[in-house]
Amino acid sequence: MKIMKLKKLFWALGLISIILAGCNSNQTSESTQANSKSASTETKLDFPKKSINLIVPFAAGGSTDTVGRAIAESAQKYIGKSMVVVNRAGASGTIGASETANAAGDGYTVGLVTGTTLTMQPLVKQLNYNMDDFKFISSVVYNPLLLVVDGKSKINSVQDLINESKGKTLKVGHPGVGTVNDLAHTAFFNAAGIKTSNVPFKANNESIAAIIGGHIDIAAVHPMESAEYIKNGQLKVLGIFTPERLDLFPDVPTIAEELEKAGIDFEFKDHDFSAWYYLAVPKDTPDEIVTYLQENMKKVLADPDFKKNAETLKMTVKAIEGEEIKTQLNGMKEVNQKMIDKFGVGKQ
Amino acid sequence: MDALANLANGLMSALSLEMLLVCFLGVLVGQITGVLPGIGPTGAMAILLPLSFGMGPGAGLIMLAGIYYGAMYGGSITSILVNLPGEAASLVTTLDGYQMARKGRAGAALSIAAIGSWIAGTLAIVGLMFFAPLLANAALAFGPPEFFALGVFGLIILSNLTGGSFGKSFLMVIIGLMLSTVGVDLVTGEDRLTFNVLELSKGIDLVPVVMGLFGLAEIFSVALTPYQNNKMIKIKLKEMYPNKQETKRSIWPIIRGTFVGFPMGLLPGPAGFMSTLISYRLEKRLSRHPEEFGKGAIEGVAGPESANNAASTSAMIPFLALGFPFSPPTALLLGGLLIHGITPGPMFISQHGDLFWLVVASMYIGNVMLLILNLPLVGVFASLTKVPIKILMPIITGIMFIGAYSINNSIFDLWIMFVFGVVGFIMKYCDYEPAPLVVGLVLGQMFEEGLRQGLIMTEGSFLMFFERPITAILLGISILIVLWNVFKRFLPFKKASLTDEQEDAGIKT
Repeated sequence: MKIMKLKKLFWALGLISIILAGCNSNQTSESTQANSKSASTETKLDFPKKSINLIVPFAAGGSTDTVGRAIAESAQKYIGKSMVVVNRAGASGTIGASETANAAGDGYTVGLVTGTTLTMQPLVKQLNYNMDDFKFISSVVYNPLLLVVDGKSKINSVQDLINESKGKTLKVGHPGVGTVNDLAHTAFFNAAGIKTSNVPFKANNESIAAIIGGHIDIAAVHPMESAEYIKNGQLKVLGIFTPERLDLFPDVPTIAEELEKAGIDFEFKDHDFSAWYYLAVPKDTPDEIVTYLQENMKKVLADPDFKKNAETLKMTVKAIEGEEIKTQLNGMKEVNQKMIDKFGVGKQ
Repeated sequence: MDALANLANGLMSALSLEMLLVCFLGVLVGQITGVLPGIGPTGAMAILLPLSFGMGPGAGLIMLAGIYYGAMYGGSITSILVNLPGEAASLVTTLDGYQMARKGRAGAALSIAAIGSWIAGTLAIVGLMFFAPLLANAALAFGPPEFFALGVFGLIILSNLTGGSFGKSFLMVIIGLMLSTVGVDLVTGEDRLTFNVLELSKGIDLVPVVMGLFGLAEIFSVALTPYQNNKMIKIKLKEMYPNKQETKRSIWPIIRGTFVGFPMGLLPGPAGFMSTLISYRLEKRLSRHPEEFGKGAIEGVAGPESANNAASTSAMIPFLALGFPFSPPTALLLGGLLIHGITPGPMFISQHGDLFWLVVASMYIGNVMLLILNLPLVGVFASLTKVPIKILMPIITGIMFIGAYSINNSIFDLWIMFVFGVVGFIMKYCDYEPAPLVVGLVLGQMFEEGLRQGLIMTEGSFLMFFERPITAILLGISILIVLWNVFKRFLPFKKASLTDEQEDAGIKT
């Protein structure tokens, strides 16, 4: 009898583990099968037949992950099959991007990729992918950067900052070479003529903790991470790294505005330093599947629930499609190349 | 008394049917993920995160938090029964827990682990309740130089954790430190020691290493031993629970474990894991019979198991009171709240007081649920040791592979686990302890990051580290310990006059 019970226990344990694993793993073996099918041109699109994997190139729980999960949540409504978030974190998002680029082009692997993993990392690192290895479905949201200092500091504007930091070296919280923050810092501090040293942190919220704790002076961070501290007065925001003021933060001046007040013409005033997120598939994905995904993602991005989710994350939904994305990405790439040549970003 | 009135309100809402159900679901999933080797709370929380979107923010948070602290209960079970840590924070429990099981005291070890977890968890919630805002601000005083000092202190104290040969342990620590340098350089962004393998640029993860060194290595050596049928110890019912002496010996380790774990949880990094190491070290030093450690000392189970529960509860403090998720599981809790438009932060307790107290109340309830879930099941779990090894081990191997894969969905992590399994197996036969290697791997990151960030902050002046009080104290103690161990042989007086801290150095001369 005892043995019977134990057997049951094991079956139960086994089942649980299968369920747990099944929820999380991607079905690569099946996808190769489906690949051969979709390759033969079918007249009527029979897609999707199973769940679609959404590769998120950052760890679970972060801002990118939360965007990915919000997309997956709303996508189910329109696609009819579930979208499963697969976190492939590491190396500034390049591991996940590389995985997306090299996946089977059957539409069952969609990647959430960021602007810098496409237009900056390939310029400073040897990677096995570039922009042309993807077909783009749509842009999703953009996550702007705010320049923040300790709430207790005397500095209230970029002008103050320039005056206060004469002859000093500012300690800047820096989340990694080639990140949007890195680019924004480089452009701003060079324009303002401020000397800096980069104190590396793994994530922006570590930088924020270090600013409030008085260990470092300044950093560019995303609103989602900093909004509560700004509201509370523990952080002070000096400006936003977008070409124009945003509806979400009407009172926050742009960095270009602020620099102009200080009598400086910002070379990159038309450049948006926000983190942009795109949905992409491998380049050999058939066009009809891309079109299908495009149509449905349009509905997802217009979905009020998704809009609300994005707003609570303090991000702005923006759907750009097709060729327009390529134009935007090429623009980014150009600016990045300029910064590499001029300021040596990524070559420390 | 405000706190108690708020807590009463919180309890009222936490006792509603819906809240009780989600709390139970959370702790149950946590318990299961804790039991399954390799599958940690982070993975389970990531899977259930979308489920929380559809709930209210309170229910979602209760469920996700339940998984987190629930996993700390379950982790000890496989550690004790089959010498495989259910998750990293239960690694040291294998040292004495498994030896207890071999002596037929599996039931006692499991019960003490559950009771210790419960006491530590509950005490830590009291701390969370009364001191959250205060402690959260104290954690902010820890900047890079402080973490560097903490890393140095930890390396010196923990290098000879299990008390084997000093030379061998130190070698393992150094190998661990070297492994921690693999990956993207924090300052320059260049790849180090990755040999152009993209996967290596994110560094070597803790979990596959622990699973390999401890889990797979154990399975390999079991597979090699000649098959013995039914040599398993029979467990009688009255042996299921701890006897008087075991209970008495566990009381202080549980309390000390709580006080070790609680402050650790406030800091970033693998707090649960670190706190168990420190607690084990402390118990061994304070014990009247240190020779029993590693051979089935109940203190070696009671202390660390309490410490990791206290740490996982106090890790909620910087998260709830400051909004800083210092560990991957709390990062997922953050994700669960963000989606409801609530950002934990300095205003959280004043603005969302009802939510804060609801979660606190649910944690009391969840801990009681876990105790009830664990104690009667001790017998069931303990009888696992009666399952023939040829059946048990393949199942566990399968679960371990699934678990290691689920963290990053990465086949590469399985290779890491496999390589470290082989390495661990060889180390076992050459009598090298794997624990110091893990200490080196974990502390190496804290050490390097703190040192390099700190030196950039001070523009290269190491002396400025000593201008910061916390750093100065930690580094001062570390230097004293080293000096003491070098010079103590020249001093006339004997061991009786050593202080705990100095003894903690554990460096044999």
